[in-house]
Amino acid sequence: MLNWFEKTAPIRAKFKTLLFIHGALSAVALGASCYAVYGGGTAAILVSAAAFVLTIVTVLVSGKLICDPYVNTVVRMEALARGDTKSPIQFTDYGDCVGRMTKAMAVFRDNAENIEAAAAVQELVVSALAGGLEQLSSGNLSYTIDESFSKDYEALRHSFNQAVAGLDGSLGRVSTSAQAVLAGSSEIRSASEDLSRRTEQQAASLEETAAAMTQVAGMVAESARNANDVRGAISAAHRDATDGTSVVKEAVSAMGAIEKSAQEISTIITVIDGIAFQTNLLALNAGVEAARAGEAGKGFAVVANEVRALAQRSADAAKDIKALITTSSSQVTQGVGLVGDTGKMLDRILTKIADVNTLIGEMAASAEAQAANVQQVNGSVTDMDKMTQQNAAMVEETTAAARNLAGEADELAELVARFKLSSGNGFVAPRRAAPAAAKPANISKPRAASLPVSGNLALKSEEDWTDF
Amino acid sequence: MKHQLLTFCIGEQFLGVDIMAVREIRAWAPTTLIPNAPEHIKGVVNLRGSVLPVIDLSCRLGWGRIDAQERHVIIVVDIGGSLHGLFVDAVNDIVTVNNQDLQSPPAVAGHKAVDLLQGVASIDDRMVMLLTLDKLVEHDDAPDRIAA
Repeated sequence: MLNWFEKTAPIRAKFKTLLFIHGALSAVALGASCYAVYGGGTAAILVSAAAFVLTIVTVLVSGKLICDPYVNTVVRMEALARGDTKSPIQFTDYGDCVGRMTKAMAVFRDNAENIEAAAAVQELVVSALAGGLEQLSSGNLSYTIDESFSKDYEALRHSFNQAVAGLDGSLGRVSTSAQAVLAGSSEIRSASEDLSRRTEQQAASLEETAAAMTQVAGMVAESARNANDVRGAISAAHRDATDGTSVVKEAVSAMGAIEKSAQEISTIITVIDGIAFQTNLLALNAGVEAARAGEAGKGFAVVANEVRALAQRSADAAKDIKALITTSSSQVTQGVGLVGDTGKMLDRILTKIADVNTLIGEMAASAEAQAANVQQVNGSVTDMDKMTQQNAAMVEETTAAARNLAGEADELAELVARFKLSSGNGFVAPRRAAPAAAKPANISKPRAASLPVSGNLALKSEEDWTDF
Repeated sequence: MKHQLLTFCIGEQFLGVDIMAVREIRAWAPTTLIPNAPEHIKGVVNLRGSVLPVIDLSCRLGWGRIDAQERHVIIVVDIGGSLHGLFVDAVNDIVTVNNQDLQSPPAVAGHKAVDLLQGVASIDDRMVMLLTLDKLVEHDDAPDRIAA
């Protein structure tokens, strides 16, 4: 009964019950009063007192029965409102309003608990996300939220991880690209250095070539001048040789004239010799006749002797002259021979002069051609010089651009270096080295170390650029 | 006794003839050949209209023929009343020799030589052989004999 009253009856029923009970008790009291009126005396008082006590008891009990759960529930509700979900919620088994209230409270509590749990989960999630975002903000892109959330937030965790992974990947690629850019820019820089060195060499070679060409041009001009001088000399020699030839001809003709007169003299001498001979014979004949005449012919013999002597002298003189003529003739022949040789030599000289003339003409022509070629080459060298200068300017621009690129790549590297990637920050290799591949090692490498390296390299590169 | 000789030379040899036999001394003129003449007859020449046989003296003496040149001389001699020409290289001189200077040719020379030479004389460091003119013509086959 009390159980029913306490736990099951709805409040109106409770009050109805109480009404009954109180009514009953009051009826009893009334009855008792009535009894008392009607002579019941003490019994009536007892009954009334009993009714009174019962009423008190009932009220107390009912009050307790009603109020306790009610107040407890209120307290519990207040506690619940304050957030106490742990304390057990009593009276849920009551069927009355308290029960309903406590059931509702239980529901509230459950809800609160759920909310709390959800809030806790959310708190967890938020804290995890906050932690992740903090890691993210501090640059640790390798961070993943590993502890799984409740399944509502699992998607969120996955999304977060994916986003971070995506960032990580992108930054990793950016880092790789930055490294590639750095490597490329270092290659460009070394290539630019090489190119600038080569351009310098080219410029020096061009200078040398230009100087050499100038020399060659000078020598060609000199050669042309010499050829012209030789031409003049050759013309003079030709004239002289031609004069010489005519002189030779005159000499030959003079010698011919000498020879002719010598021949004429020879003829005359032969005549004189003949005359001498005949005179001799005549003298001999005279001698013979004188001898045959004996004494009478003695004077005649003397005359004949004198005539013989004269004839002899004449013959001797003729002989001498003949000898001289012969000598003169032989000398003239020698002279003619020599003059003939001279003439031949002069002819040969003339021929050679003609040859030399031709050769000199060819030389002069080729010298002119050479000069033209040298001019061309000079022009080409000038062009090449200009282009080399342009190249040098371009190389400087390229160098500056490469330097800028390296600077930007540096900055990029610095920026990326702030992040801790799962693939690691590979800016360990100095920029000077050949294609620096990202070294996957140093994940645990303290970030701070890479920055001064870049800084040093940057300084070093400064030196290189100024070494241009 | 003195002889007056006309000395002449053939090549390197000096010979001489008695000057009395000499009629004339002529310069060389081309000779006309005689058919079938002996070797020592050079031919005939025209002597002022008359024909003169010319003897190649060198051949006659056995020294070989002489090639005729303009400076050679023909000595016209009288041999046995007829004139003959002696073809010689050159005429030297008219000399006088004493008989005692004239020596006989050596016996070893042979029979023909003794015949032809009258003697040998030494004149001016030269040996002059004196010819016997008559002997020259004895073997002569000249068809014409000209009276001197």
